[in-house]
This record gives sequence, C-alpha cells and structure tokens, in this order.
Amino acid sequence: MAEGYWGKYWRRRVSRRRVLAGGAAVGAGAAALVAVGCGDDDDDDDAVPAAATQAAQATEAAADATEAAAAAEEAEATEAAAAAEAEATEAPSAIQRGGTFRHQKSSQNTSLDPSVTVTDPTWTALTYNHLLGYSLVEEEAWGDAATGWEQPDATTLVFSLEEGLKFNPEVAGGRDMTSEDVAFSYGRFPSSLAELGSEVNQLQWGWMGVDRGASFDTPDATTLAINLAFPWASAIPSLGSSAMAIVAREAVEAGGGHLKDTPNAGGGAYMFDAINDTGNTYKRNPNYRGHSSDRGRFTAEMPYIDRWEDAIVTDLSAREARLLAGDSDVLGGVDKIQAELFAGESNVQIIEGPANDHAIMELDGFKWAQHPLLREALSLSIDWEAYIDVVLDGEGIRGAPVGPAFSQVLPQDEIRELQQFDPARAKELWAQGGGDEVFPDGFVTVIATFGTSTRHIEFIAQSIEENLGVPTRLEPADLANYVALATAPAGQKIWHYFIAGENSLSTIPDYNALTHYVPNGYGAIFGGVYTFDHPLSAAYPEEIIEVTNEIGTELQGRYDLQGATVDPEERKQVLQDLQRYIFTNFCCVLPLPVPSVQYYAMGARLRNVPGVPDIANNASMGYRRAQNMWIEA
Amino acid sequence: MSSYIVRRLLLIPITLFIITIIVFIFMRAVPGDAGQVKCGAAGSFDETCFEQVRKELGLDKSLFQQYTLWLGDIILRGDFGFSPISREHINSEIGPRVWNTGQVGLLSIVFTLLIGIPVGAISAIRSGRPIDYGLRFVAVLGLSVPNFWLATLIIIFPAVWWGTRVAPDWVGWEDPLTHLQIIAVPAFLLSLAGGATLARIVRSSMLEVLRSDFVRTSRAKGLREAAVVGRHVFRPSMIALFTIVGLQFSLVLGGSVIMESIFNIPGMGLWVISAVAGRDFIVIQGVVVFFAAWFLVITLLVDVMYAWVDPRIRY
Repeated sequence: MAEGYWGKYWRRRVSRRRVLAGGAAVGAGAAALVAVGCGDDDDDDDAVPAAATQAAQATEAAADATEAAAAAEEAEATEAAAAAEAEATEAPSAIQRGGTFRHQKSSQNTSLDPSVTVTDPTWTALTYNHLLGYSLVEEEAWGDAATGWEQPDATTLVFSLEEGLKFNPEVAGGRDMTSEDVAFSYGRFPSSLAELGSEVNQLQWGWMGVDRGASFDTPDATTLAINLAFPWASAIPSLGSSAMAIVAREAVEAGGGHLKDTPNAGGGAYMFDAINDTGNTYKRNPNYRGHSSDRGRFTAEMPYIDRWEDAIVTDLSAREARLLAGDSDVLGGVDKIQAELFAGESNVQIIEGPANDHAIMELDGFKWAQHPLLREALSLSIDWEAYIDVVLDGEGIRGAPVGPAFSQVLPQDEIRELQQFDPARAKELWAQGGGDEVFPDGFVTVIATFGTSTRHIEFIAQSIEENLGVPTRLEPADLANYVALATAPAGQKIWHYFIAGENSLSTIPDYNALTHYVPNGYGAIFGGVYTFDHPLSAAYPEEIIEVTNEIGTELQGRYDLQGATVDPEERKQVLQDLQRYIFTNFCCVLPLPVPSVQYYAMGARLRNVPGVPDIANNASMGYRRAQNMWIEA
Repeated sequence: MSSYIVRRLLLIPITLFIITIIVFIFMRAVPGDAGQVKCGAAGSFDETCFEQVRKELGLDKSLFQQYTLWLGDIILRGDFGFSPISREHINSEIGPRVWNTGQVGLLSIVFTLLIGIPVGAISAIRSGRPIDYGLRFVAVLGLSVPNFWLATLIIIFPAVWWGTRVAPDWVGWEDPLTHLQIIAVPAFLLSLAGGATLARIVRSSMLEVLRSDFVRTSRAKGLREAAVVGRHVFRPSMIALFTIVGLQFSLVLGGSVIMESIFNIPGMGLWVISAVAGRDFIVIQGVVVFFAAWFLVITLLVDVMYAWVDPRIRY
C-alpha cells in the first residue's frame, strides 16, 4: 500500500518512555527558566543534567527494548505461554501462603447478582463456585464444584458434585450445596433477562435451551443431569463462564427474587468483607473446602492467597502508577509498546503468550446487501498485511471467524488466499458495481472515544481511501453512544461499516467469534445479515432480505450444524467449511487481522500466574480463579 | 441591600427550575441510554435487556411523566431519587461526596491565596525588576498549563522514577496525615490557575494604588515602605480577592471532575463523570442541580461581600 500522509507518522511512532523522557527534559528546562527568572540560580543546577541523563537512559532503554522485541518470534511467544503454564507445576516447596492480592478496576459493580451482571468477573470468580473452569491453554475443563462429568448422549450432561460443599456462613445458614442449587441457579437466566434486565448475553446460557424445553434432573444431592433442548458441542467450555455461578435459593428469595444487593450468596473460596465507594475487600470463606483433587489451577487445600482488595480507580494513568509503584498486582492487557516499557520496571512482570482475539468489520446490510461487487471491492481494497505491520506493530496474524487459539481455525495460508489485497481488482469491481453512484458521499464509521487505540480504524479508512478513492468520515462516540449507534434500527444506522473487537470472552468458538456472522447471533442486531424468519427483519425492505436471506439461512444452518456436531473431527470440518463460506461471500462481516501475541501486566511479586490467553478470560481459568497462584513475600 | 438580597434569593428557585428543565432535556437528547450502556457493555444487545433496564429506570414513561415525577420528589420530599444503575440513593450519597469535594475545594482556596497574594504583591512592589518578570512568567505558566496534564505527570513520574506515588489511595480523617497528603496535591493543582489569576490581579491593583496620590503622600510623610504597603496599598487592593475566591469555589466544581478522577477521590466530580459515562440520568440530574444551587449561592455571597467590603458599591 502506498504510504499516505498518516502512514509516515504511524511508522515513526514515538514511544511513551521517549515522550516521558522528553517531558522530563522540558519540565527541567522550564524549572531552570523559572529559577533563572527568580534569580535563584543555586537551587536547580542539578536538575537539567539529571533530567538529561535520565532522558538519555530512557531513550537507550527504549531502543534496547525495541530491538529485543523485534528479535522475538511468534514461536517464542508460544514457548513463553507454555513456560508460564509449566510453572504451574512448580515444586510445592516454593509456594508461599498468605498475603493480599491487590486488584484494581475502573468502576464499581452495578449489581451483585451473577445472573444479571457480568462486566467484572472478579467477585463472581472469588465468591462463587462454578461447576467447572475451562482452560484455553490446556484445552480442557477442570472441575470446580464438579468432580467429574460424562455425556451419555448428545443432549445429556451428567455431573457429579464434590462431597461436602457448603455455602458461606452468611447465607442459608452455611448449609450444604446440592445439585438442586445448581439447577436453580442455571434455571434463573430466562427470568433474570425478562424481569431483571440481565446483561448476561443469551449466548452464554441460551445453548442449554432452558426456555425451550431443557430440564434438570437431581436424583441425589451430588448428581445433576442437564437435559439440553438440543445438542451443543461446546457445552462443557460454556459452563466455565463466570455467569454460571451457583447461588443459594434462600438468598434470592430473601432479596425479593434477585441478588442485586446481596453479597455472599455463594460458596466460593472468598467472601466480601467490605463494599464501598473506593473498592471492595474479600476475606476467606471459612466454610470453603478445597477440591478433592488439585487438578489444573484448583487446590486441594485453601487457595494460597489470604485476601483480595479490589480498588476502584477510574483513571488509567492512576492505575498504571499504582502498578509501577508496587501498590497493585494487576493492570491488565497492554500493547507491545507498553509491554516493552513496563518490562524493565521492578514492580511489574509482563505475561505474554499467543493471543486469542477476534476483530470484525461489520457492513450495514441495509446499505450493502444488494451490492455484492462493492462488498468484495471493499475487502480487496484493504491491505491486510500492512494492517499487521502498522496497526499490530508486526505482531499479528490473519483473523478468522474462529479464534486463533482453537484448532478449528483455518490455516493462515488459506486465509491469505481467501482474503486478498488487490487494489486493481478492487477498483475494477467498484466501477462495475457503480460504487461512486451507490455511495456518492463516501463512508461513515464510528470511532470509540473510550478505546485505547484508534489506529485500526484510521488505517482501514486510509486504506479504503487510497485504494478505492472513497473517503470515510470518523464519527466519535462514547460508550453509550457507541452502543446506540451500533444497534440503531434498520435504515437509521449512520455508519456504513463498523469495526469492533473482543477478547474478554474468547473461550467458546461458537460464542466467541462465529456469532458475529450469523443472523441469530450479533449478525442481525448489528444489521449485517437477516433472514425472513428473524424478528428484526420486519424493518427491512423485502428486496434487501431477499439477498441476505439466502446467505443468512446458509450461515445460520451451518452454525447450528457445527453446534450440534459433537464429534471433534467432524465439527472441525463443518467449522472450516463455514469459515470458507464467510470469506467468499463478504456478507456482511469481514474478519480483521488480530494480534498474535497478548501482553498482560501483573505485579512482580506474583508467582505461578496463569498464562495467556487464560489469564484474563472470565469464562476460563484466569488469575481470578487461579487458587495455586501465590505472592512472594 | 436587603431588597436586593431578597430579589436574588427569589431568583434562585426560578433559575434552578429552568436548570432542571435544561439538564433533563439535554440528558435525553444525548444519544444512548443506561440500558444500552449496561447491556451493551457486557456484550448483550438483547432488546429485552434494554427494555428491562429502561423500565427499572422509569425511562419507559413519557418525558413529561419522568420529569414531573423526578421534580415532584425533589420539591415535595427533598428526594433526589435512587439510581438502579449505581444502586445508590442520591440523598445518602451526596453528603459524604460534597464533603470530600469540599475539602479539596477549601484547601485549593487556601493554596490560591497563599500563592496569589504574595506573588502578586512581590511582583507589584518589585515591578520591572527581574523578580517581577520571573513571577509573572510563573503566573502565565500557571494559567496556561492545563492542570489535568500536570496531574497526570505527577501521578506517573514518581511511579516511573522512584516506584512511589505522590497521592496514596483514599483514606478519611482517621488517618489525618495521609488524608491531607491525598487532598493536598489535587488542591494545589486546582489552585494554580486561580493563584496565577489572583497574582496578576493583585499586582495590577497594587500597582494602581501604588501610583495614587495618597501613597505618594504617605511616603512624603516619611512612613516606612513596609507601613506604606501594608497599611495603605495592600488593603484597598484586596477587593479583587473576593472575586477570585468566589470564582475559585465555582472552579472547584468543574475541576473536581478531572482531579477526582485522576486522584481517585470519591467526591462529586468522580460521581458525575461515572454517571455521564453510564448515562445514569438520576445521578447526573441530581448532581447538576446541586452544582447549580451551589454556584448560585456562592455568586450571591460574593456579590453581597463585595458591597460589604467596598461601601462605594451599591445595589
């Protein structure tokens, strides 16, 4: 791709350390000027040399870090993840028990009901049991409340619960937890959505079909059978979700049918100790017992860490400062440049490994459905490889409708073949399809003001403009406006394409990525793909639905088929065919390249930290549920 | 004077009433609502979720109903409402938060006076000399450097260089030294612009007085310079002080939004910024009305103080 105006800046990005060092020099210079102005020449003589020395050191360090990172290959990242997980089996003699994990987040929980609120999984992971946790690194489930499970047929899952599980002393008299509690907890989801405004995505629990004929059998206190309404291949990984918390019926009833204001309604390893404006604290649940086996990241005894603090710190700089000063043990996901900056800091450790991200470019079906040539032209006009170089700092891979951590994802070579950059062909198709007449005013897209980077959106806008000659107007939006714009009714969307990414829920292939491409997932809600039988299609003219109905029906059919295909090999085939179908129809979601490496900034005193991509996932064995993580005194 | 005060007092509820209409309409005019934030942020775009949250917030009622219910509760019961988003009752939250914001505000006014008066006075007395230029440079710097930028640097630099933080996590007066340490930095940063403005006003006021006939007469009488400045120059120049202090009280409200976010102070500013991001209309409306009332009362007090300090001013 020809380098445009902004390209030269992108390629000459200045690191934050360099900016800080420059700021220091400017600050010291300003201080010196002030000192001179005040006639006080004696005080600040050392300021400029000191700042200059630091600036020089900082610049050298940044250069070294850049070189080191440039030398790292994707394979090394994979090895790092493997090493991090290998550390999980570190000799028990090294373990230190006790201490407080100092967590931080940007806002307080909006409710304390796990069937309603999922935006921060910390409290659900700490204060509740789940049947199991699923590890992306190990690609297997580890029993939490469940000691074992089997699937006698495609729609039946039978779980055996740990003996002696109890709720915490503040709920239900600290009684034993039974299979009926699990059934009650899972059965709440439909009513939580209809009556409590649950934000838990239906895709997280809808696979059970609780509202479509599924049932639960509880022959005894420690046996639970889930009779699914229809087969679902990803049932086990889905049960790892933080929303699948086991709650006490008595607490729900006492709360008037919900737990919005009820802390400590479960039997997890910890309990809320205090909740206030500045954060929450958690103490051990005295009723908690370890697991009968210490598989995965669960411990046979109590978790190694004694307490958790969860500070609410709104400002990102303040959160960074807390980590750098050793006052917090977690910052979260950071990009490559930040990772390089943090790598040398004494209070920080960077956990890195293969990422499992997914990003899409959604086309508004209302505007694009009837123009297949233009959709293809748009895809061909984007320089996908340059996207990896520029947006992802060279550490990226071609994205697909299945997350890169899953074996069902298409090989990179095939994706490159299916999703090409061909500006000449793009222009040809654009002219054939009458693109300039269809879109005389160019495109509009939405740019999030709350995101940490907008490079990906700017790059795509520039790529389209350079290769198709069509400008894009970037419409800024805060979170509320962003969602409103994304989900605006048919015909009222101001955008032509919408770029979105996700990585927090990247556990289940069906849920994670594919749902963006099918009508019954996000496809119709975002406005890309409709079928005649979809409720939202009523808002669309018939001639548009006629186009998307054929593709949408095919996509939905293949999606449902893969969900019902329990045999892993068969399912892989179905999933790969589905991906090929998506890549070749350009309707109406285009997968974007994604990072190949994920970096996570954690406190240096933590040991045995889960690897990437497990580390932060709310539906897997992230650090919040890593009972065998410890703090080095 | 008393009739003026009565008139101004009568205007306050009318102004507040207009403000309630404006804030109510503006909040509804902004795209997006709490339902979309709450459900959408979690990745759920289900219309049932949107509708249920809207119902819980009363957003499913007509605008007129929403407004009259909200205003009626305030007027009849003094009840600013309950936010299902933050799970907080506005009335019980507002007191502690005003106190936290107020502490920072009061301290920032103290800093404003400590910076502005000496800098302005020295600058005026040493007018045209290097120290005057230096202090004026500092004043311009204080006015032109955004305090949020300085705040970010103050947060980040010590952590990067020395692995420490200037302002620790929030604690109340049970730990007075730490508490003062927490509020001192944002208060100082908030005072920079006000201090610089005050310094420039004090300087120009004092220069004007220094050139007046009675000062020349005082010097001719043989009074010492300290007595001339202290007794005859300084006092008449201080009328401007009331304007700045009054303004500073108002600036505290705006500044608190940024400072409380950066320094994580659980005051009104942090509350309102979280509410805006989450489209928590109940909180925003309550806080804006409270801010407006605060501003109106302070403005009235400043105007009254003006007349009290300077008998030449008549209303």
